[in-house]
Amino acid sequence: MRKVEVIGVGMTTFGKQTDITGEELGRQACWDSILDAGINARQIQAAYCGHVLQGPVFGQRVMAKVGIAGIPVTNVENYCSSGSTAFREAWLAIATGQYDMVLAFGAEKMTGKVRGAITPAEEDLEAQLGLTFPGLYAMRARRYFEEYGATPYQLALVSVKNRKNGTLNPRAQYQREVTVEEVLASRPIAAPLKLLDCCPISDGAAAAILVNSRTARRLGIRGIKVGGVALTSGQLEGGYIDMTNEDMTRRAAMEVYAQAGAGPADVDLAEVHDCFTIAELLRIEGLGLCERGEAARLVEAGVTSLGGRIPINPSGGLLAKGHPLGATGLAQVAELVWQLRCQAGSRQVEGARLGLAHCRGGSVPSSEGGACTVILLKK
Amino acid sequence: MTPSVSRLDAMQTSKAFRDGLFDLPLNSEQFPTGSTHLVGMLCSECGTTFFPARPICPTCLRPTALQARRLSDTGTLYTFSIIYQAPPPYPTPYAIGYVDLPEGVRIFGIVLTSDVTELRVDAPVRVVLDELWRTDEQQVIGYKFALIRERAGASEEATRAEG
Repeated sequence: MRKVEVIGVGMTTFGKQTDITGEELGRQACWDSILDAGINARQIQAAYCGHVLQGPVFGQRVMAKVGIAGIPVTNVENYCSSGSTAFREAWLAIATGQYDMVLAFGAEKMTGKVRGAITPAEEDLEAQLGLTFPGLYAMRARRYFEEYGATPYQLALVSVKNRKNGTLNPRAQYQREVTVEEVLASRPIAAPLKLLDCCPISDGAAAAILVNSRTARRLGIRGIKVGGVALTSGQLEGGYIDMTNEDMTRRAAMEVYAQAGAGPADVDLAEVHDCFTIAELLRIEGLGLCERGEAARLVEAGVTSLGGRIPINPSGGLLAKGHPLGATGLAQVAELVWQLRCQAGSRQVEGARLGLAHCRGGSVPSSEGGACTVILLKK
Repeated sequence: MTPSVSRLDAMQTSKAFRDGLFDLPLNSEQFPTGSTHLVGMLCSECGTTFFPARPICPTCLRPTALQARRLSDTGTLYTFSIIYQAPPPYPTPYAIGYVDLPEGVRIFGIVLTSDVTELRVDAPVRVVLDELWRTDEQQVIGYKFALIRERAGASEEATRAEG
């Protein structure tokens, strides 16, 4: 496998953007990444596009707007992990020597397409019987409370932290801090989760340019190295599935740590899939950043805040930055690249050398879930 | 005997939600309610019981040696939530949960209770038939879980969702 680097990233503002199409959002992010890399766009040999709701050949439609036609374009759907899966495809294509320069992007226009929460597939057994995504995470939270004594107050602290980080990120959907009291007093969505425990519906796009290290040297660019990438799906399980466990996350993280020759103690910051406050706690534990049942206490102690030992979601995460499905994984990559280049402004994690991004998407009955990705980037 | 779902002969406007998931009383003359059994599968190669039935064992991946298994009609609540925002067809709020049946399966469903404050982890529940939704032509019958309330030594099943 050849070594791969990220030499350019781009990201639109996330939020409700009524007057702009998904194609245009995608175009902006792609061009931002091309300009950021300082390359000639004609050098891009292939593109992978993560999206969920944008219709047929969306990636090709975006590329036509970008002005690059004729190259292989592949559309990737892995629900909330679509963008990070597109990144993995790009990484694989370069690592295995198929191409020297690939564009990975994700874009989603959700406004007008999604009301309330996103839902599992229409024919999903559990969804037909009344399961919603907030409901699924609410049940995980209830069980987590039961097993580890965590509280709604501790969940609210995750929202408070990420909303605070979001005010330091000009591209984040929410630019206002919230208090624990506001989170706890927001309207119930799926008990014990309140509105401010849930990430919003968003429009946005993000992109990254990947090359092999030799190409980066030839171009005279010092990229951010891809230390490892992994994709897992939920094990099909008979028997009781432990809903406080993140087996998919754990397996993906172990694979990535092995690829990078690193361990959880080496991670300086992480962007994790905080679709709900409880989700951030479960991910932290699944990634091995702490023991099971410990994450709530870490959040309360400020360990995961900016300035803490292991800042989690300095970008604001899905909770504050927003969650345009296909764009999310690549927005995480963009944040890591900015952090590792020391370009993250007032939310900069001092001395960051190793950053981790984690996404999880979809639900599958009789299994822990759909798709989980972990990406490790290093200076 | 292989348990299986039967068509509802008496009420032609009713139909079971998917085939093979649960027992329906034969020749029922009225809206079928009350307790039922879910129908899973037992793999006699590796001993795994799973629900719903599928043509291959999730543990040992063998397609052979699978037989239908009627599951217990009572279990305990592993976890739960009360849903305040949901797409159609279910009116909110409603309670949901995962229920552990003694055969080693954890199953999702709506939880019926007249008082959501009685919901708690490990609470005993019964598997019941209830209407899931109805269209102009048809009533769709499926399974839910009803909280078994312990009261003065006797147990009483809740049959109505709060709200």
